[in-house]
Amino acid sequence: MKKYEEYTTLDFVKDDAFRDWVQGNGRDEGFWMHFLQQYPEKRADIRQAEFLIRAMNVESESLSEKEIRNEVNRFLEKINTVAEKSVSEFPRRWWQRPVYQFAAAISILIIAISSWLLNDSTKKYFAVETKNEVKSSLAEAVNDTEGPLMLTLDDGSSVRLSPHSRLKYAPKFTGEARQVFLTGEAHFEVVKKTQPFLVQTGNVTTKVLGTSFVVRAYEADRRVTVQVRSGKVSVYTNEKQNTASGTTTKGVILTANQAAVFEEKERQLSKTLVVQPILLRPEVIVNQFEYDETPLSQVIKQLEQAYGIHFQFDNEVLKNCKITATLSNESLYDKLNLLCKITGATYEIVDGQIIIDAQGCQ
Amino acid sequence: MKADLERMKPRPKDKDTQQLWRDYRTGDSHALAQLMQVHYTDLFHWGMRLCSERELVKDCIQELFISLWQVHATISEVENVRAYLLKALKTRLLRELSKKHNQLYELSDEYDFNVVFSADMRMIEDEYEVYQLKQLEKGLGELPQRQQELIYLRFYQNLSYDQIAENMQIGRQSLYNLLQKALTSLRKHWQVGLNGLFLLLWVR
Repeated sequence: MKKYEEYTTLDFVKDDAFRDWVQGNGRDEGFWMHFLQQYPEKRADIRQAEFLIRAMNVESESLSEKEIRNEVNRFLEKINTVAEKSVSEFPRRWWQRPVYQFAAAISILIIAISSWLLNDSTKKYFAVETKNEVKSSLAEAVNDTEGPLMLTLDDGSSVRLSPHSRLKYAPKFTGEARQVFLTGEAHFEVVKKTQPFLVQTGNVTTKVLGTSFVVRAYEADRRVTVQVRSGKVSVYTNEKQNTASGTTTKGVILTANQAAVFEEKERQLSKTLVVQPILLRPEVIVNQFEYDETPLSQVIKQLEQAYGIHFQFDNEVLKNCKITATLSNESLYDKLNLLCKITGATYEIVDGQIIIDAQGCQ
Repeated sequence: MKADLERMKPRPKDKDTQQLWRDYRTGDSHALAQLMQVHYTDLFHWGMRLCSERELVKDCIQELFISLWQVHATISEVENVRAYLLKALKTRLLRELSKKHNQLYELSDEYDFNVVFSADMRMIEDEYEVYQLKQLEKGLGELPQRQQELIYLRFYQNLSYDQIAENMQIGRQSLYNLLQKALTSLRKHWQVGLNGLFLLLWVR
């Protein structure tokens, strides 16, 4: 506790809490009133300090909300034109074609990785590689530009490498797997082959059997995240873990709208959902999300199919819950919040599923 | 008073802006746009203190955010986003001004700093008090520019001493000394005869 009773005028001026109080931003109105009653001899100092702070006021600039909005829009336009220009340089904008958004087996996959993961393990990994394969001489593509860089791999798969990203790959794929090493971000369009396609990002491997996805693995973050938009991906850590039951390799299988997080601290993979689940099967929404006295269980079933996410709930408890509402293009989580609010239920995401906890309705 | 209304608008919470910064670093351009939006008033006000040309200040803020976007993948976590942005804008503006005036300005240099203090007169009705505040205003106006800048950063922008030291590229101790000096010379402007009056006011 600060000894305010010993403060001089200037001490008060320099004090954060005092300044906030004078400027009307403080939360301690009661405290200062009480203090003044307790130490009446401090009134003069406090008043002086108040005057000093009042004098230090500066008029604001005339700047309308509209001007600010214009500037922000100008900024957004500028960075978007830059991005679009570089994208349109490439004739094959496959990731923009709607068909790929739903039909591709694996369409989005994001991995972020910490610097230590890379520094420690990738180096180690490369060291091992060179020893075993006697300088298999990997090619390296580095994108230092501000636009994406298109690459075609030996098997015909194509890669769109994002700015500030590096990809190491074999000029000719040999052996059992097609393997690439990524730092940064890349969109892959993988040609289906019997050999699996592996993206190595430090401690975490992402394995897919075909088509397209995005891997993100910039060095700055402290965790690895893999997000899958559609299809099936397997993600596993490269380190063997010694557990009581023996040595196991940790891994998870992800389906559409699921995500895996590898926390550096805990050093284990956990399964969750993507930040922004997408409608995988819009054709399921025959009623345009319009519900009239519809049982909640039926609404959930519909969401389950449309988003491809598994829900767990007690059918018996939800039996009497009826929904009358019109939903639209809000996010899945907004929809859930609304449904929960209507029915007094709550939901949580556990292991890539949504668990609904309800008390039941009258 | 317009200034008061501006003041009432609360600054965004540090917790929220730090989260926006993290989102921006993962490649979320809207998070960066939001950071721009919530800090624009403060940045613009700050910019106008260093350079009185509106359009140049606006352009510098644009360029600052565009270059931030370009490095989103490599930029690190910052301790306080607002303090970071204020310093980054200053660096950029001083660079622009150096080019324009063919003279090199650095953070620790004697660049121009234009501020006009105008006392907050809310709830002040007593004529003698108004007079005293006017005297203080005048005193503030006569302070050396570095001291004015320090007072501005502290009492208008609400930066911490560490953040100001970083912004002005001076040591913490020199900063304290500078502030002490400014406040002491201010007090000279109005000391006489006030103490008695204050007691009366508070008794009232």
